[in-house]
Amino acid sequence: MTALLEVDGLSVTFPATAGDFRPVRDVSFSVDRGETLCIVGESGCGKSLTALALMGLLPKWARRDARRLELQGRDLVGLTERQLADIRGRRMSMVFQEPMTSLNPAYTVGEQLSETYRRHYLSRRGVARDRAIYLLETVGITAAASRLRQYPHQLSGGLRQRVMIAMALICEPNLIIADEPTTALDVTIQAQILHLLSALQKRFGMGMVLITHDLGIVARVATRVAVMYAGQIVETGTVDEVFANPLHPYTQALLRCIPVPGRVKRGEHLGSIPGAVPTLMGDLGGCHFRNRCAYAHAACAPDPILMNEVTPGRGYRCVVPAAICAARGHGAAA
Amino acid sequence: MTDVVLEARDVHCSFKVSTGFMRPKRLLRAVNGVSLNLRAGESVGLVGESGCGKTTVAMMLLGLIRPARGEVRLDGLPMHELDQRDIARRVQPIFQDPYSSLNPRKRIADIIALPLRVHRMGSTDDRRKKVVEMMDMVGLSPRYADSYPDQLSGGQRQRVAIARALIMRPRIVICDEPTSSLDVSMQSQILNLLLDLQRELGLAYLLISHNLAVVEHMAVRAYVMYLGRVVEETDSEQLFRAPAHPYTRALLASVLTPEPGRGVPDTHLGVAYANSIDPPSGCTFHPRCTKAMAVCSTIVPHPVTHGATRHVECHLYSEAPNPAPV
Repeated sequence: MTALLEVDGLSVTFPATAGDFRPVRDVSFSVDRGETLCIVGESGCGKSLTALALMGLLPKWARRDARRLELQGRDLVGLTERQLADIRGRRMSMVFQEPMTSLNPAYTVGEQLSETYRRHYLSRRGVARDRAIYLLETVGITAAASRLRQYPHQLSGGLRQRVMIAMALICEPNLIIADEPTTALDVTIQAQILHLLSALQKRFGMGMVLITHDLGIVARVATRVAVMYAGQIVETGTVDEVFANPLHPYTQALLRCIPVPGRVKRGEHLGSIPGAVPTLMGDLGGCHFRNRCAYAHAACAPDPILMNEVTPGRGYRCVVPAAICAARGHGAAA
Repeated sequence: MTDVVLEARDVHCSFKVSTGFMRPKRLLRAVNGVSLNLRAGESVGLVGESGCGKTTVAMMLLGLIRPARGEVRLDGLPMHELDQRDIARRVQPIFQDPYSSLNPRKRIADIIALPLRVHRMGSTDDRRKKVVEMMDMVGLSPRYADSYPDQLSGGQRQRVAIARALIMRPRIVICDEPTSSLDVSMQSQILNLLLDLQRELGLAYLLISHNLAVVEHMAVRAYVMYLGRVVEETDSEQLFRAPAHPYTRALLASVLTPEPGRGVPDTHLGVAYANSIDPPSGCTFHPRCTKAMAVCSTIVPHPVTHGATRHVECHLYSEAPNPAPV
């Protein structure tokens, strides 16, 4: 059986006079049905652009290259805008980060919800309306029928994100891409939304790509993890593998940065990553993390570092053998 | 407790908010009787959801809003009797968003030196020297002195905000979500810096945050706010080991620690969001509470002491709920 989503060698380039800006470089992963892949990384690592590239929503002047980009065995490269529009919303849909800005303030919730359904199923208004009510109830909104007449500004942040999720699910897509779906929300609402997303994913058997910077979310939601740094995936594996035995120095450093009640002593220094992310212009040569890595040595440059595959689906992008990496990561493991 | 440096005694604050064109304005009770205190050199957390009044409390503690009722005392003196400059010398804020809290048209050195200029301290040369000293202390290279905020990263900007807050050498710093707009690696650097500065300068921090893991790491005590009230006050350790109030429990359950296999907990909070214009009767948390009893919807719970928990407002812990004015 082929994977639901197959991505091989995805790159995004913004041509510029001073040199190409390349925020996503040779990213490969796959997602199966019923599986959640978390792409985790800090701001500017290219995770959101990866999502937009999958959806074909990049700005016109950006260039997308991929050796393979397939959804359910169907090639997504070279589709016309119209063909892509038939897939977007129906086969794969997206939940955006800011429910405040990604809903249209000039249309009611009902109009926005049923628009997608009517576009794909060419159904009558009444049918779409019933479907919208059903979906709002599914995402836990009470008095759904009356909510349809409301405008986004009349809803709280948590409710808006629920509406966004309902909108993404209205055609029962096979793949859902959620880009930081809870960043703008309170912790309590965040837990509710993530709980809901996981439950719905199981219920509909969807594949999910969840993009986040929060390692806590990753640990709780993901089946598999891809850690991104400076445009590249630097480590992949199942959630247990990555958290119990992080191999890449960046993953290890990231795990040491977060305070964990009960594990890190109060008032003690947290781990930190010195330096800054390199500018993603042109060719960086060698390991992207080498100027911040505690273990950097001569072999880290100038040749590009390839992904070392330990077992299928488990890999890391570092020149050091896995056994040594594992020993270094011992203190960072969760 | 003689070393209390900042104290709020039963402070209230409300705002008139517009409910629409040609409609009467309504009263939003942002803070509804909050008491808290901060001792010298101590870190105290203040946690709660957005809209619970955390920031309004911070504004009152900074002397920027005068409480409608109750009083704020700074070093034992009522705050409203002090001069604003006098307050600013002792209490300083660090805000959440270093992108909007720094003037984009001023150079970094001028931003950090502004408090000195306002207070007419030292000559230009003295100020420059102090700024360089301060930048060194917060880990900013002096070569940024003539840069503008947009040339700096988020973490560096937050360092500028910290330098600006500390240049007057206050004893109290009110940090309003100091790391929530930063990346994980930047967050740990800023938290480490705050810890170092506290040791070096003996600062007292009031740490306002919705990230309970950060509060647990930094603070020794914490206040939990819900709809303008402090519903629980306790030591951080106790808070994490045995939270008393059902709201604190839900908050704690929502903290997603990086432990795989535990899934996302169901907080059972429901979708009934709190509205501070129209607060529920009785205990304001009862519509979302899993342990709500009949009494909760009618009677406001009294604060009680429960074991090691110093202050909790919940009927679960009152022996015999006695009627309180609603």
